[in-house]
Amino acid sequence: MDRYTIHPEIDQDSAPYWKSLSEHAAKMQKCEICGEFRFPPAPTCYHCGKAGGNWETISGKGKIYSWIVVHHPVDKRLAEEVPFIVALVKLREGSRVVGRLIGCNNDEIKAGLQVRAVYDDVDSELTLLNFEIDI
Amino acid sequence: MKNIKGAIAGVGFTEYSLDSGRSVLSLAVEACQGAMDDAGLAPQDVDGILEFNVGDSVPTESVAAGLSLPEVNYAFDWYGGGFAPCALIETACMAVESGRCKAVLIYRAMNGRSGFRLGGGAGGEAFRAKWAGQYRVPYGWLSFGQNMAMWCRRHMEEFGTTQEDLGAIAVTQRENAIMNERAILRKPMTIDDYMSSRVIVDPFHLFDMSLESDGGCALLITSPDRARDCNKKPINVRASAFLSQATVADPLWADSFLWPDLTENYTRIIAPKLYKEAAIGPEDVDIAEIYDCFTYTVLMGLEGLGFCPKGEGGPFASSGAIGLGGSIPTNTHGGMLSEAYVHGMNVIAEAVMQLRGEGGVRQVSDAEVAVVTSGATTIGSGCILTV
Repeated sequence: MDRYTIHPEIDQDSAPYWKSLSEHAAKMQKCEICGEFRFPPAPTCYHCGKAGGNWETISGKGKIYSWIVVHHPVDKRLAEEVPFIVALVKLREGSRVVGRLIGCNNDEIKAGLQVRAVYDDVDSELTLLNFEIDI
Repeated sequence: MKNIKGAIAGVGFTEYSLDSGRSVLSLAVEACQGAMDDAGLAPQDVDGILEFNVGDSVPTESVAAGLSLPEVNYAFDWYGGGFAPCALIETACMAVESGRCKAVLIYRAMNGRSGFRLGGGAGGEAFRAKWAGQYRVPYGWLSFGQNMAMWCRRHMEEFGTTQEDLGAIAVTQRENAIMNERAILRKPMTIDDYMSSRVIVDPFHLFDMSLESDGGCALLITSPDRARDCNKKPINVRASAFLSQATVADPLWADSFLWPDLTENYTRIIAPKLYKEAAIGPEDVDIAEIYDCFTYTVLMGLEGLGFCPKGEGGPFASSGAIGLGGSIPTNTHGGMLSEAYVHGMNVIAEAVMQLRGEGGVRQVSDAEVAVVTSGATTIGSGCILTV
């Protein structure tokens, strides 16, 4: 069975992010005023409220903040994929991002574990950001 | 205690079921009519009506027409989730205090099982990969249950909260539901039953999750003076607070990206405001009716509201403290885990019933002060209610 992925509804704020994933060099906005990275993409900085910001390439490295193991697929088109692990990762840059955690089992995972980004080319239009344990 | 912001003079319910076989409009009107009858007020006595929905309910003007209210001076429909019920009480109190309204109905009505299934079956806007959802949904993170499980895991990692601790909340609430004739789930449940139930999204089992159900629930708020002339003992609103934070252009998902600490929710921030306004502390509270879309929101509420220290919610729940005979009887009707999911409106209704002494066999003796909350994560509201 073909893999099924719900595609993001990309908007003006998010387009540069999704494009950076397709180029395998994830970028996030960094505020010119306070220097903080932000995610999700937004017109203004969550930390100081200032508009703008530069899209800068991120390390792709971070730590597991939390994770779930999805057993019930909710959308039955995902039924062939369960169980799968979804992680909330705190990046070195300070922001949190979501990805599938691949190549490991639930009992190996702990909060704080180091992970690194893995690019997952779903199709010609979409690349997702996943993570694997970085030892 | 300080002054009274308003009084709850009436409570109305429909039957709670898995398949009402009725329109949402009929549920809403019946619940509101019930609240008016409970208070002993006629249509000309009620001139405000408020509700909340996620595109699954009926608007206030339809319900006002159904109730034949002759003159509505204030009404609104709030597109939003479980954070709304206590915030609607607060708004109704402001409408009454300002003199805009004599009495205000607030309601939530939904065919949440047979119609629009918020939990995921029906899909819909909540599960689209748009706004902040676009950074989650493509990875298969689709539902509110998954969202709450992600929050819960962090608590388990930081504080050693166990599956059995979560189970203690589900089991305690089921014990209460067994004593509640309105409750949908009244079958006895042991901790073993909980532990062996299906894993939906690890760490959540089936019984960590609220019901999906059909039904309506309404409250009638008026001034303390008018409430004294109504049928039932007035229940006073002594304090209210509302927090809306970190939602990132995203009306449907409480946000897990920006909220600093997933081991605590809005209750941590509103609790000091509530206690200050009511001039009491958590030790003065007799019962807690805490919004329980999932077991973990009860745990965060127990900690946030100050009934136990941060991080100790798990052992606290397991100790029996939240049972009817415990130090802080919690979700005495069975909550949304076992009574019904009326999006938190039924959680407040139970506080009113208990404070009136209408709790039947599950009545907490000498219950005079209740804290009630609405909401799960970064947006929420709460009230302190007293006799």
